[in-house]
Amino acid sequence: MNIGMLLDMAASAAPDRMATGTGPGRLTYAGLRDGAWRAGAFFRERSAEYVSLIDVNSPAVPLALFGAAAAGAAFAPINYRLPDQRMARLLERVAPGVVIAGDGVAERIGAPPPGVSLVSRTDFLAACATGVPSPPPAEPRPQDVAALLFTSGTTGEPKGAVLRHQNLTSYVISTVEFMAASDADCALISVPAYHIAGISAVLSSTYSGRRVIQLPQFDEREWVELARLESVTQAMIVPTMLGLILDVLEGSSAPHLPALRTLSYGGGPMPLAVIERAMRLLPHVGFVNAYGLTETSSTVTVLTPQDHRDAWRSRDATVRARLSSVGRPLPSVEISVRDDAGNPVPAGVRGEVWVHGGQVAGEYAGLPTATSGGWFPTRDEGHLDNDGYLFIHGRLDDVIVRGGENLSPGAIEDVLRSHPAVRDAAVVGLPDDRWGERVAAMVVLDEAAPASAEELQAHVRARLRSTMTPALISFTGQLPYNETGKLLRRVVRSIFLADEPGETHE
Amino acid sequence: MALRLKAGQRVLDGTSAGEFIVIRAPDAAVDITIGAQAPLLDVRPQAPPASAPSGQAVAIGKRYTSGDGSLELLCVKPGANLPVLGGSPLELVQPKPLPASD
Repeated sequence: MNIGMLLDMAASAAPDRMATGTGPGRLTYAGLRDGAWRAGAFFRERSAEYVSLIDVNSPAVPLALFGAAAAGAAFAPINYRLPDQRMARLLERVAPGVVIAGDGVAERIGAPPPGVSLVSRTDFLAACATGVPSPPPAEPRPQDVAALLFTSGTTGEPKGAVLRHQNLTSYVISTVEFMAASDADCALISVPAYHIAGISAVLSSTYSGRRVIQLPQFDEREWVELARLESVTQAMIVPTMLGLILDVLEGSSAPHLPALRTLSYGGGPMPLAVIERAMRLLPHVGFVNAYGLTETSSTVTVLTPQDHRDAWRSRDATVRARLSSVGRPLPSVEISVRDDAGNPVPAGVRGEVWVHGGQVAGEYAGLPTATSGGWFPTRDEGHLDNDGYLFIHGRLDDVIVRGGENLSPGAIEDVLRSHPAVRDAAVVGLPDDRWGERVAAMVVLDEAAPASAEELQAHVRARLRSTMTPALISFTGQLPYNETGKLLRRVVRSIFLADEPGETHE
Repeated sequence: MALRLKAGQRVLDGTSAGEFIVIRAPDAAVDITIGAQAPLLDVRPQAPPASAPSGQAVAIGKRYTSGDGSLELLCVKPGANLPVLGGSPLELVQPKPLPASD
């Protein structure tokens, strides 16, 4: 099985159904397949082993993804927001290959490295629309690489996560019912193509026969406008996007997206206050919390719409707490929480989250496999409750080691956010001569009801323990997140380190 | 005829256009027929007969499984014949709906 077959199947079962785009550039499923075949020929003529794309979202994304498969090449998109130097280093990793460049990108690149040829998005789309489409001479094998995704590199040089055709197709086939979507269904994609969620959205929508429209890049007003205009029925967003979308909806007198049925979110922790506000404001929408990683071909656990409603209404503290969980594993996925020695721990005990299943790749280009017996250690800290709901507490690499004691920043952030005056919080470890590390918190206050650092310290001390109480609290208007909703802890840390040591300020 | 199948492999009906992908297979040879013949594996050397004998049709995107669940096939091209394992036709798998997560 390979991802090209997903499109072949959709194109033969529903050739005339709309697949992607709006206006003159839109494509039916037969049109998308023809375009992908032409793209495949275009890439083969240029002897591409990699197909990269440095651009915002557009119909060029599915054409490049499926075209790469038709050429037996790996789709290796690059973040268009990267500084020029980092972009240049990644370009060397997609040779020999073709790079589809968005507006202004070719100028930034200058002369591409040897083996890399540039094509503008406009010229690429024209090539996908001209000539007689013919099926590729050979199809990729299940073990061939379908996608190479560069990790955000928040802790160093980006790693290239390798996803093989068998991983991606295994995910789609085990989670999506073929052609289950109706003519009226429409998904809005606003996550970028270099994010696994942008790729899985294309693949899942194709297999279910759903129309997708792309928002070039996320903007909350444009998102709401497009969702209204196109009667969008489902979308995937990251937590920071949800709060912004709710602000727009609350400030508008128009009905709150009556066509929308499902809104899934993932990519980072969702503040309880935001999801509760979303459920109040959009009672007709089913919310899905999807937890997954690039290395697992996207989603491995889901908190379903019913789970959301049950948790929200429940008076049982255990059930209610599940609104902060990431739900239970997909039927085709196994989850295990393990200690440092790799042994499973009982329910309720924190450890590292390990994942197993056909969609799990756990592999990086040029590095030995990260899996052990097919199990992938995620480096995420979590615990399971008695009914198998998974709770994620953050990255193990972010754990603060204070005087030999391991402290989870996520747990401290949760308690800080539970204070009525706190809108958001980030906790990091800072070097400390006596303790090795000390706890520092950067807090965004609610302007209407502020609180002092001392009050927040007392709030944490009363609920956790004194060692977990931030020694330093600083206030800010906005925490640094990347465009896909990841908190940039290294930026928080560098802000603290650039300031005078030991000073608590406002 | 006993054949050893592995996940991801393509299994073709030699008597109609039907094609399947192996989702799951037992770790042993299986006695499988499609249209009362041993299926072709991986590739089709020539085009399938234009008029297929009428059997129990298989539909694209549907999964078919053996009674014990050890063998599961996904139909990727519609055909005229349901695969038969050890004398028993495979059964249609009823989908378990999952919420859209992406």
